[in-house]
Amino acid sequence: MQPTRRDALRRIAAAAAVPVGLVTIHSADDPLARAASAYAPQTFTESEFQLFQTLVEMIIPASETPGASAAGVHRIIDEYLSGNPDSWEYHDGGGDLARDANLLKRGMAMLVQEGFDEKGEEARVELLTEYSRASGTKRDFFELLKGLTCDSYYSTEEGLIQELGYVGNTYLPEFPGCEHEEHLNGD
Amino acid sequence: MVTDFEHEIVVIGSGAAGGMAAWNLARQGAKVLMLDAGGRFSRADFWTHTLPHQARERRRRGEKPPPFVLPLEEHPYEWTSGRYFEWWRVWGIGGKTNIWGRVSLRLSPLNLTEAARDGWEIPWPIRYKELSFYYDKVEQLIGVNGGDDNLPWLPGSKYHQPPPKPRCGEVLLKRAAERRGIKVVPGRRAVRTQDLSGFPACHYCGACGKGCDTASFFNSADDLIPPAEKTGNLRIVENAVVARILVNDEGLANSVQYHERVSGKEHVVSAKRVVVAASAVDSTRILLNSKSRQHPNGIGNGSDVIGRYLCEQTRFHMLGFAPELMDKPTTNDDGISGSHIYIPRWVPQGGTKNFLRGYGMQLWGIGCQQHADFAPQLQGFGLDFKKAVKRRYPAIIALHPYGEVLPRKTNRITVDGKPDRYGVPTVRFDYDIGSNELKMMDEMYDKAEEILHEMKAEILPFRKRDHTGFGSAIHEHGTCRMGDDPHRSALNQYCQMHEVKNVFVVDGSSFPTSTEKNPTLTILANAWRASDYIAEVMKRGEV
Repeated sequence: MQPTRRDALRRIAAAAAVPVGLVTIHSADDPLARAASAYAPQTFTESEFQLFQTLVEMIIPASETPGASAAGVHRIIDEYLSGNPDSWEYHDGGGDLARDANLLKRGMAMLVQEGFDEKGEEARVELLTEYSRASGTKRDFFELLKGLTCDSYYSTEEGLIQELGYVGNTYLPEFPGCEHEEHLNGD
Repeated sequence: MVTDFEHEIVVIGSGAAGGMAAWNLARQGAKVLMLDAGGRFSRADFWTHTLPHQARERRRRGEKPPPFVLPLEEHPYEWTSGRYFEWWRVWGIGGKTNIWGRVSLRLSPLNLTEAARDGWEIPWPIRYKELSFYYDKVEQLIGVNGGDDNLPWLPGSKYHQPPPKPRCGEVLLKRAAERRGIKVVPGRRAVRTQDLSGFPACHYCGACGKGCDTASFFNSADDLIPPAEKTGNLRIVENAVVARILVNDEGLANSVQYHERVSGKEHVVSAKRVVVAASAVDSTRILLNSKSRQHPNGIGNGSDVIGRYLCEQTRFHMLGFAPELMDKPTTNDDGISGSHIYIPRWVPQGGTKNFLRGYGMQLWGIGCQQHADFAPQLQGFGLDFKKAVKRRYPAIIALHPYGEVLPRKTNRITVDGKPDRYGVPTVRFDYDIGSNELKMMDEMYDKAEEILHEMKAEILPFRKRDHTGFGSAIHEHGTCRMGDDPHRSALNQYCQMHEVKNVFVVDGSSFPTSTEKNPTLTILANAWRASDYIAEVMKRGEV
C-alpha cells in the first residue's frame, strides 16, 4: 500500500531527526473548494462573464472528462485578471493584466457584434475558427483566450488529474525510471 | 547600533556564498556577524505537496506560500529601454538556494583557461587543481548525485551519489543524440539520493521549486547556517538590507550600514573585515554605492571594473514529442525535478559558425509534468484539440541549450536608478548580447533540432534566435571579477579586493567568465577556498 504523506513524513523525520512541521493537507474535495455559492465576477460584467464561460468551454469542451466550464476556468481567469491579491493566481510575472482584460473584452464585443449570441453551435465554431486564423486584434484575442484557458484548465483537478492523469507529487523510496524494454533496448 | 557580539568579520548574505563563508569561518573559530536582507523561511509553511488546484483553494482562503521571490514592487530596479533584464532575488536565509535548480557542474580546466587561449578578456587566476580540491570537499559535504564521466569539458568526481534513472523520453533522447555523435551523461544535481549527515534522501515528488519539505537538496539554510550557529560563532541579523560599506581614513572597511527591511531604520555595525556575498548584482550594488573620498567610484573600484563585464548565458527551449511515447499511459516522471541527464559541451563546436566559447544542453521537463504548457502551441480548439493535448502529454521532449555570453565592458550595472525606499540608489542594467552569442545560438538551434529529427519527434514551431530573455538563466557573473592584473580586475585569486585588503567578494560576481555551466557548485568551492584564505591571513594578523 502506498504510504500516506503523513506516514512518509513521520518515517523520514524519525530517520533523519530533521524537524518536520505539521502541514495541513488540503483536499480537493474540501467543501469550501466546491462551494456552489454564486461567484460575482471581478473583471468582467455579468454578461461578459457568461459569454466568457461559453468561450472557454468551446476551447476545451467536456468529453469523458469535464471541460473548462465545469472546471471553473472562466472564474479562474476572471480572478487572475482582477489582480486581487487575495485571489490572485500565482504566475511568474508575465503579462499585463489590464491589457489582457481589455483585449478579451474587446474580442468578446467583436464577437457579439458579429451575432455570436444568436448563432447555433456550428456557426459559433465557424466564427471562432475565423478569429483563430485572422490577423490583428481577432487573432490576438483568440490566442490570449486559448492560452489562458489551457494554462488554467490544465492546472485544475479536472484538467491535470482527470484528463491528463498526472500521478506525481507523491512519495517514492526510489525512482524507477524507464522500465520499458522497447525503449531501453531499442535501436 | 553596534551589536554586543564581538564579531571579527561581517558576512553580507546567507545563500551559497555567504552561507559557505560563514560556516567555514565560524567552524575555524572566527566570530561572524551575518547580515541578511530577509528572514527565515519555515519548512512548515512550504507548499511542497500542494497541487496547483489545491494552491488555488488555499489562496482563496487567504493563505499564501512562502514569499521566496522578492517582488519588484518592494525593491524596484531599472534597465535600458527595450532591453529588460529579469533579475531574480531571494531575500531570506538561504537565498536562492531555497528554490534553486540544483544543477551542480564542475568547471573544467578548459573553462578556466579559455580566455587565455582565445584572447577575449581575462582568464581565471585559479587553476583547476586548486579548485578541484574544494569541489571534492563540497560534493562530500552537500551530496551531489551524478555519473562517473570524466570528459574534457566536464571533469569527473569520486564523490557522486548514485544518479536517478533516466525517464523514458531521456532514454530515447540519449540514444538519438549519441547516434549523432553527441554524448549524453547522467545529470549532476545537488539532490541527495542517499541519506547524508542526517538529511533524508529525496522522495522524488518533483516539487523542489516550492521548497523541499524534507531538506533533501542542498540549501544553505539547512546545510550551512544551522551547523555554523551551533559553533556559537555565528550571529545573524535578519531583515537587514545592506546599503554601504564604510571606510576609515586609510580607505579600509571599518563598518557596514544597513536598514531594517520593514521599518527602514538605519544601523551601522563595526566591521574589521567584510565578506560580501549578497548575490552578484546585489553585492555589486552595495560596492558601487560605497562611495567615499577614498573610493569616489565605489569601494575598491579605482580600476572602474566593478559593475562592468556582466555576463550570463543565453538560453532557449525547443520542444517536441517522441512518437514512441504518444498515447502511452501517464507515468510518474517527477524524479528529482528537472534533468536526469545532461549534454556537456563537446568538441568541436563553432565550426563554420565561428564563435568563441561554447554551450551545453539541459533537458528539463521531459515526460509527464504538473502542467501542459505546450498546449496553446497545438493547432485548433475543441474536442480534437483536447485529444491532441492528451496524446502528446506523456511524449514531451524538451531541450534547453545554455550558451556562454562573453564578458563585455559595456555590459554593466550601475547605481543610477531612483533611490529605493531607504534612500539608497538602486540598480540599472545596461546589457545586450552580440554577434558571438547570436552565431552560437544559431548552432545551438541546429543541434537541438538535429537531435529531435533523429528521434523522429514532432517538433513544435520555433523561431531561431528567440531566447528566454536576459537574466532568465539566473546566472549573473563578472561584475566584481577576480584576476591577476589589478587594472583589469577587482579581486585577487582569493576574492580579496586588490585595493581594499579587508574586503572579500565571494559570490558569482567574482567570476571572470560565465562559462556554459551553472555556477553554484563553483560558488561553493570558491567561497570555501577564499574563506580558508581569510582564516589563514587572520591567524597571521595580515588582515
